[in-house]
Amino acid sequence: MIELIIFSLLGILLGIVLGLIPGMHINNILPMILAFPFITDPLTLSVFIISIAVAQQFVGYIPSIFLGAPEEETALSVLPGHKMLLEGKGFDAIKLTLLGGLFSLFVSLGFILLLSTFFPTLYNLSRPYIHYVLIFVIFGMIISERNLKAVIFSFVIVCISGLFGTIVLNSTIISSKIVLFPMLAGLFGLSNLVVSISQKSKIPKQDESSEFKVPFKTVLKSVLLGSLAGITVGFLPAVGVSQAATIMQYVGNMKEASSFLMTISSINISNEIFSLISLYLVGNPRSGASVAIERVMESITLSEVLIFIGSICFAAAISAIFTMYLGKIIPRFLARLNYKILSCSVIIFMLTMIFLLAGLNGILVGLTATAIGVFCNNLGIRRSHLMGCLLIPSVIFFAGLNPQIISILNI
Amino acid sequence: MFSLSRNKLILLSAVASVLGVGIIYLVGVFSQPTETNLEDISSDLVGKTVSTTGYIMYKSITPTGHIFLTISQNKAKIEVPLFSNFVQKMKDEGKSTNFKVGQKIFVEGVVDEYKGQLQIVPRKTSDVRILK
Repeated sequence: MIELIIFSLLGILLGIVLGLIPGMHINNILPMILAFPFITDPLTLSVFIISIAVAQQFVGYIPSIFLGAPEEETALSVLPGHKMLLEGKGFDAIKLTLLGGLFSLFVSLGFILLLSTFFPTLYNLSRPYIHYVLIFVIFGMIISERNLKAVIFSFVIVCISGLFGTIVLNSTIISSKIVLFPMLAGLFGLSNLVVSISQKSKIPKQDESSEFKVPFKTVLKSVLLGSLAGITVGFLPAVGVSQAATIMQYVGNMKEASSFLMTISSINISNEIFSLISLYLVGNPRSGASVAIERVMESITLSEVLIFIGSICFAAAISAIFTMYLGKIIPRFLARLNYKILSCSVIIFMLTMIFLLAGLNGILVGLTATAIGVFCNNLGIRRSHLMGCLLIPSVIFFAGLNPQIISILNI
Repeated sequence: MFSLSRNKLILLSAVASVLGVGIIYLVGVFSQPTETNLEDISSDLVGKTVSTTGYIMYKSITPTGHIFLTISQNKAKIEVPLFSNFVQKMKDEGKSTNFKVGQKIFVEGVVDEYKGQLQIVPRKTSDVRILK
């Protein structure tokens, strides 16, 4: 028992470090962890992996919101989160992600236990219609703009980002394991920083004393929708967290940053939990962490699943406390820095990480994504249209057109 | 002080976007996957595109039309899943899907891992060819 707690704490510590470094992900270090399976027994090693995954989910919002440097899972939180930071409400943005994540922990566990027997049926029923749902969402995204000019601009951005995503995701120029990092970091992170620099933004003194009030109805709606979406992402391959967040933004009519941040956090947490538990429920790993656990454990019993659930809750609670602490002290420090220098440093760091992980092709993808993000921002339309880069390839995938498209494009 | 008007910024970012997408496309067209011996394909290559050759040692067809081949070379083996829409596309293009155990085939595709088993997932119909 003591060994489990010690390894869980070590995992949390490692998860916090990984979460704070943009571009670093548990998947980057899993091969190293799996190379030393003898350091402890399989169950303890699995708890170690789970703790890393959960801690990284919670802490990952700090670079995304405070530095505008996102991961795949936090890409869409950059826009409302960084905006709140520039309004002096960065700490509130962190609290919202924690609120969404912690509530979702319990809600998604409930949903998973309730719905687990229906997952195969739900998958088979929904699979042939997913591309229609995605087309409907894209159409809704475009026509929901405020006037005809904005609708036309949105259409242009969805087309460009869709073509960009289709080429990048289907070509062989970057490993499919890391291709989303340069894409989403450019579209949402780097472009946001470039625009902030050009607008001469600066981080104001953060308001830490304000009473944080969110209507319970908003919390409930965000967490329920987010948890359901996270689980859906778990059992539908090729629909990612970002696509689900975009869909929920329109389904839930979420115009406020607060509800969107809670929703995206709920999606991430419920997806992570589903990925870990699906190993036992459907015998199919859905994330890097669950693939690693599958390799470590020969088989998983119900009592081991209960230990996993316990370690998820433990890691979530400890990580939330750390995230609160870091969320309070980091903006105080950032407010003292020159925002332009800080943003330029983050841009250089992100480009360096992209180069290290994906080479020159990664830089090419990252810079193109940045240009598309800046283009969208200058047109004055919603940045969520940039999600065309994932939605269009998903439509193609679910419509079964991937081989045709790859043949036509000859990539 | 150098400054750009909003219209010029829009034009500049639009040109950079289109140019970037065009260059990525050309890089994608001209990039060739690494030719790899079957025994050198490991989980380190997951996500990367490789091309290899091997002998079909096992073949199964599911009721939904998916074909699963297991190819081997010098004791190493790997699975090659051909999904139903892919198989249909091969048939539409007049390509043989009559794979037989013992045949030597060329496969190009993305290395993936499914239920602990390494796979090469071909992306286009020209990625699978019967050699002998």
